[in-house]
This record gives sequence, structure tokens and C-alpha cells, in this order.
Amino acid sequence: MTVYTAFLLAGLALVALGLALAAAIIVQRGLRQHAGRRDLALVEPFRPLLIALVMDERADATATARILGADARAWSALEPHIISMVRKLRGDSRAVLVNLLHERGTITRLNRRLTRPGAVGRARAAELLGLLGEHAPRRDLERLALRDHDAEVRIVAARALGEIGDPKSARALLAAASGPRAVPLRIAARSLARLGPGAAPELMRGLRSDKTTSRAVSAEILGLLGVTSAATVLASAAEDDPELDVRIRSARALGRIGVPSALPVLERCTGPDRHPALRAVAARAVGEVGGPIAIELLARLLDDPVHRVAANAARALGRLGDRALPALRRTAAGATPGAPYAAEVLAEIDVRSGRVVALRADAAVGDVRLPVVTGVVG
Amino acid sequence: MIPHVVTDAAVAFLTGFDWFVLGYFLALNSGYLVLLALASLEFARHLRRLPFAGYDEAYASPLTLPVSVIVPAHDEGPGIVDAVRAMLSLRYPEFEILVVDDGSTDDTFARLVEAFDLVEVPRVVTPDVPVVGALVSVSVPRSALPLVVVRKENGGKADALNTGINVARYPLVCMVDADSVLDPDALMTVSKPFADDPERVVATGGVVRAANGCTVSGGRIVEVRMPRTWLPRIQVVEYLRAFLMGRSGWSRLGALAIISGAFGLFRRDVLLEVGGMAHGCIGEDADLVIRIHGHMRRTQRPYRVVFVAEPVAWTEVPTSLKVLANQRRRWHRGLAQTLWRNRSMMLNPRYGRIGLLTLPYYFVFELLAPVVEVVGVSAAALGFLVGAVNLSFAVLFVAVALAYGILLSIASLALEEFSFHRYRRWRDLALAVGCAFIENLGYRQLTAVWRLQGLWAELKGARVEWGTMSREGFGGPAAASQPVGSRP
Repeated sequence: MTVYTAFLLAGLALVALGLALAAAIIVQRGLRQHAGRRDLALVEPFRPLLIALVMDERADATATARILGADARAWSALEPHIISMVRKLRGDSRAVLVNLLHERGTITRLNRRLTRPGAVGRARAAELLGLLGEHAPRRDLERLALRDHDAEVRIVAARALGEIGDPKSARALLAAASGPRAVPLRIAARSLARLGPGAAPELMRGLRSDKTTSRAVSAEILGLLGVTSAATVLASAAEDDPELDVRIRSARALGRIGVPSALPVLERCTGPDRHPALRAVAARAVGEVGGPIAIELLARLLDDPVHRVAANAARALGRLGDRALPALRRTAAGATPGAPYAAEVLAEIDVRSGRVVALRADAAVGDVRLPVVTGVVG
Repeated sequence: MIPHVVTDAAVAFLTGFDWFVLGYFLALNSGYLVLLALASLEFARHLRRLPFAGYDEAYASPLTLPVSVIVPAHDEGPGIVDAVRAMLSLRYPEFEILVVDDGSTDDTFARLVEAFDLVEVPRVVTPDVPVVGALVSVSVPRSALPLVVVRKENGGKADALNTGINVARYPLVCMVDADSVLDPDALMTVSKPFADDPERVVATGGVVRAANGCTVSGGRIVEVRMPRTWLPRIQVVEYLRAFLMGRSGWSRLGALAIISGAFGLFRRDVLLEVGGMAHGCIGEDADLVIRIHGHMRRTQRPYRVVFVAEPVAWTEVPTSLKVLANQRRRWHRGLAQTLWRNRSMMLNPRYGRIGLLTLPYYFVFELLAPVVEVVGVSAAALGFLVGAVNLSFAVLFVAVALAYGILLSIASLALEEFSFHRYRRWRDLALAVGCAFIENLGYRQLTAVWRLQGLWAELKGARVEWGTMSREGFGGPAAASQPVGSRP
């Protein structure tokens, strides 16, 4: 074969491929539009029945029977429609639709899919089972969150457990947050937070775990749930835990819980010998606890040489409202390193309260009146 | 009289060079084909996982990382208010919009003051990354809108972004062009990799598409259509082939070197570690990502730079040849600068796929492509004149090369149709197929000339400025001269 012939054949092959792709585009679009119209037509007769079901407080047996009696083709179009309605509804209306799916076998089918090969199928099933809460196999989902070899399946299963909201899943979720097949900390933490106060005992145990991630997640969630009985353990963790991440999350949690007894610990966490990240978080937490002692401590921290500490102290004072204004004004009027931070927060308070006149629309560069401080203050 | 031995040598050289050009274009288009195949795998993976992506869950979570959205603006008066309004209505749990007015000479700031009732406030800003233009003022609205407007002396886009990085309060920083139209879920979409793989993901980028012809309402794309004129239509197809498919393919390989300056999300601590944006660099977006790769490799930390296939941002593309030429010259100049600045990473095994694959590819098949194309066409013509190239063979060669290019464009369209199918009208589809032909019959050759000019300008060391382009806007015919958007 000559080079010329080879070129000719290659060119013809390219043209044929191009034509095939163009045809594929047209066929794909045609098929998609046809499928859309077909599904619409299949769902249409059932739409009024579904609306009647979710609107009526009394379940209409005839409507239910008609929907459940849909043939396989109609049900395949109807099922995604019902699931999308479940996502949007709450209470009895949602329960009616979930029961429909249960009776028609959707939930059994999804349960079976949890153990099948194919990560996407397992993840889809886990997500839908989480949505359908009350009928979901909690233990199977816990197993997926802990042991599935696919990271995405573990994430979806952990989210589903949070959606279901059974506090019994706390141990599995805590375990899922650590180890070689860990679920990302924020996802496990969010799911744990959705379990509510019932998860607190397990989280208290988690705070004493030898796994850093378990301690970190437990501290974070105990704070989010506002478990006051955890304050003592958290105070100990904020000061003494060997891991900085756990100390930071414990300090933050103490602020969220807001018990005044946490102030001495938080004050020590803001000490100059501690890590700057912990000091900054502790400064914010001090503000969340509040009170005269907190204001005094925060006013001192305004002069801190670490920007994040001083800035957080200033914002914390700002959030404390009128009680903190004298301390802020005193610092702003002075010449200490904390003055610009105090001035910044005071200005924000004035802006929000409408005490500052807005700029003219024609303001030019030369009209600038207020200082912008750049550079590391102090 | 030229001796025979000289003409024979010239003919042999031209023949050899023509074969080199042939091999080069085969390799170039085959490279695109591989990237396209990788992109199709990436799209399939993305779309199959979309139903359980968990965006609603992330939106409701108090643990979702907050984002500072930095919008550098220079003479963006006509569109800035609509752009900021649209950004303020993004669906995300916690974010702030930081508009950095980089010494605008028009009414950019005045319009913002009027629209958002701005009040000047003092603000402590630490120089975490270097800035050149002095900070002039910081303003916030009297309402509780999460908006901060920073005015500074002119220092260029990179300087404006660095100022924004310094002012930013949140751990994730999103860089957005002021003329970008964002999808409401844009932040949710590009922040997802940070939630799924928080230890390793340091930067994410999303797909930027051409907005011309689309219906924009309230700063949102409500209907996607092909542009009304041919030049932007061709760019729609070009964006699909070169940017959407290319970037997705590189991301799949774990070797993505460019996240568009029009929309990219970064970890702030990593931005501080690399010193923020590089001053005086036109291709600051690519330069940043390559430096992040270099930094993470040098510090031997596991990391990922991810491209999210979902369309998240839309930008107006040039409608005139003059503006398009200017844009392409700038982009190519930026590429040359970026490759030169990061030359120590090139072919260096220490930098893994970026050093051994991406950067050499960009050098050989992006930077040098216009040189080979222009010189190749000239050599082919010369070869034909001196009898080194057979006419029918030359015609066949050109036809095959064009067919390969057209095939790639149609394959990109097919991929778009099988995945996102955003262009819903049959007419738009027909126009796109038409553009797949036109793009390869004149447009590509024209851009090759402009890119060559850009390369030449860089070699000469011509002055760097914010580029300007005439925008038609999305709401009406009022034209305005505004900065050229980032490479998508």
C-alpha cells in the first residue's frame, strides 16, 4: 500500500467517523425527546391521583390501588416522579408516598442493590434509602459507611444515616470518621449532628477515644448540639489533648455551649504560649460565652500581636453588643495596637445601626476620610 | 544559477519538513482525541454520580466551608451592579463578595455606592501576599449584604486579586471575573471536591462557556442558545473542544495546569504559601495553578487540583475580529510567560505528570502550534513551487488534516449532546455542526497567526496592560469597552 493510498483510506475513515458521530447526535437527541414525551404521557394519568393523595388527609384507597396497579412501564416513569415529590414534602403527605414506594417494592429493590456490584448503584440506593428514612436498613447502611471499598458509597451511606437520624448510628458514624477507609470528617460530623442529643453519650465516649478523628468529631458535634454536660470533658480536651485539631475543636465547642465555667480554660487557651490557631478560636469562644470577665479578657486581646487573635477578639466584642461598647471605644480612642481593630468593629456596628452617612455616588479617590490600616499591627 | 546540489538539498529539506509537519499535526490531533476520550470518561462518571452529589445536604450543613468570592474590577461600570447582584444571590451557606476596584477610571465605584448604599469603614488588612497598588478604602453596604468593596490604586489584575486574598476572611477563596455570569449553584458545585476530599483538594475549577446569544435575566442564564453571529458561534464550538474537553481530560489524568481566572476556587492557606498571584504575568491563572503544583510537589504533600465538568460560569466572547485577535494574542503571550516562569519544572521528574507530561505538551502542542502551522503552510507552498511536494498528495494531506480537525469538533459536540445537552433547539445543533466545519476552515488558521503575534510580542518584551474588549452586554445593545475576560 502506498502512502497516498494510506492517506486516502485514513481520510475516508475520518469522514465516515464524522458522519457516524453526526448521526449519533441526531439519534440521541431524537431518542431523548421521545423518551421525555413518553414518560410525560405515562405519568400524566396518575398525576391527579398523586396530588389527591398528598392533599387529602385521608388516604384514598381507590387512588392508591390505581397507582399501585400501574404496569411496569408506567411505574418506571412514575417512580422517579414520586421520589422527586418525596424530596419536597414533609409529614403525612410524604409518608403516604413513601408507603406507596414501600408497597410497590421499591424499598426492597433498593435494599437488594446495596449489596450488588457497581459503586454507583450502591450509592444511589443508599441515597434513596436515606431519603425514605423509616424503611431504610440502618445496619446495612452502617456497614456501607464503614466498610465499602468505594469512597463515594461510604460518603453517601454516612449522609443517609444522618438523614435517617437514628442516634443508634452514632457509634458507626464515629468509627467511619477514622481509619483507612474514612469518611471525610465534615460529612461524618454533619450526619452525627443530625442524630440530635440522643447521640451525646456516644460522643462523650468518642471524646476519650484513642483515635484523633473520633475525638475531633465528637468535640465538634458536642458543641453544635450544645451538650452542657460535656463541658468538663471538653475543657480538659481543650487544654490537654495532644492533637492541636482536637484542642481547637474543643475550644470552639466550649464557646458554642456557652457555660461560664469554661472561661478560665478558654482564657488559658488564649495565652501567648499556645498555638496561634487555638488562641484565635479561643478568643472567639470567649465572646460566645460572654459576660463582664469575657469582655475584660477580649479587651486585652485586642492588643495581641497576632492578627487573627486580635481580629477575632474585636469581632467577638462586636457581637456582645452594647455591653462591650465602652471597652471598644476606650481602645479605639487610645494609641495601642488594638485601636484599629476596635475602630473597625465600631464602624461596622455604626453602619448596621444606621449611624453612618452613606457615601455619595460621585465619591472620588480624594474623598477618602477613614483610614485603611495595612501591615501587621503591633 | 543555483547549483543542483543546493536545490536538491533544499528540496530534501522541504520534503523532510513537510513530513515533520504532517507528523506534528497527527500527534496534535491525536492528543486532542485522547483528551476527548478521557473527558468522556470523566463526564460519564460525573453525570452518573450527580443524583447523589448531596448539594442540598452541603447547603444545609453548618460545617460547609465559607467562601470569599473575589471579583477584580477595572472599568467595569456598565455591568458591575448586575454582576454583584447575581453573585449575592448565589446558593451557598456562607460567603462574602469582595469587589476589588483596581483604580477604575470610570464610574464602577460610584455605581456600586449608589446600588448598595455603601459606607466607608476602617479595616485592618494584613499583607499576607504582596501587593503593589496601595489600598485606598474599604466600603460595606448599610444593609446586611455580605459585600465588601475595596478600592485600590491601579496595579493590574493579579494585584487586585492579591488585595482580595489579603482582605478575604474565609478559608476558601473564589476568583471570578466581573463579567462572568454564574449559575446559582456554581459555588456548591465547585466546592464539593473540597468536602469530599478535604485533605488533598487544594484548587477546583469549573466549566466556563460562551454566554453570547443566551437569555440572561437577573444575572442568570435562563435559556441557552447559540449566538446570533458566526464569530461567537465558532467560539462556542472551540470552547467545547479546546477548553471543556481538554481541561476535563487533563483533570482525569491528574495533571490539570489551568483553572480559568473566570471562575476558580482555592484554599486560602495554599494561596498564601505560594505568595498569591504573580505580578506582571498575563497568564496569572495558569501560572498560579502551576506554582501550586510545584509547591505541593516540593513539600511532598498529597494534593489534587480538580476540574468539575458541570457548567458553572458563562462569559461573553468577542464578536469582532479585532477584539478576538487582541484576546488571542494576550492568551498566547500569557502562555509563553507562564511556561518560561516555570521552566524549571519542565521535564523534571520531581514534578510528576505536570513536569513530565502537561508542561511539555503545552510547550510543544500549544505554544509552538502556531509556529508550526504558519511555517508548515509556508513550507508546503514552497515545497509545491520547487516540486518537492506532489500537488495531489498535498491536497490529500490538507484534506485529511482538516477532516481530523472537523472530526474532533464533531466529537466534542457529540460529547456535549450525550452529557449536558445545553443547546436544546435543533437549529442550534445544526449551527454548531456547521461551525465545526468553519472552525477548521479559516478560523483556526487565523487564530494561529494571532497567537504567533502574541508569542512575538512576548519575545520582544512589549508592555503588559489590562486588555480591553468591546462588550455588547446581555441586556441590550449598549456597547462598552471593558477588560478582556480570562481564558475560560
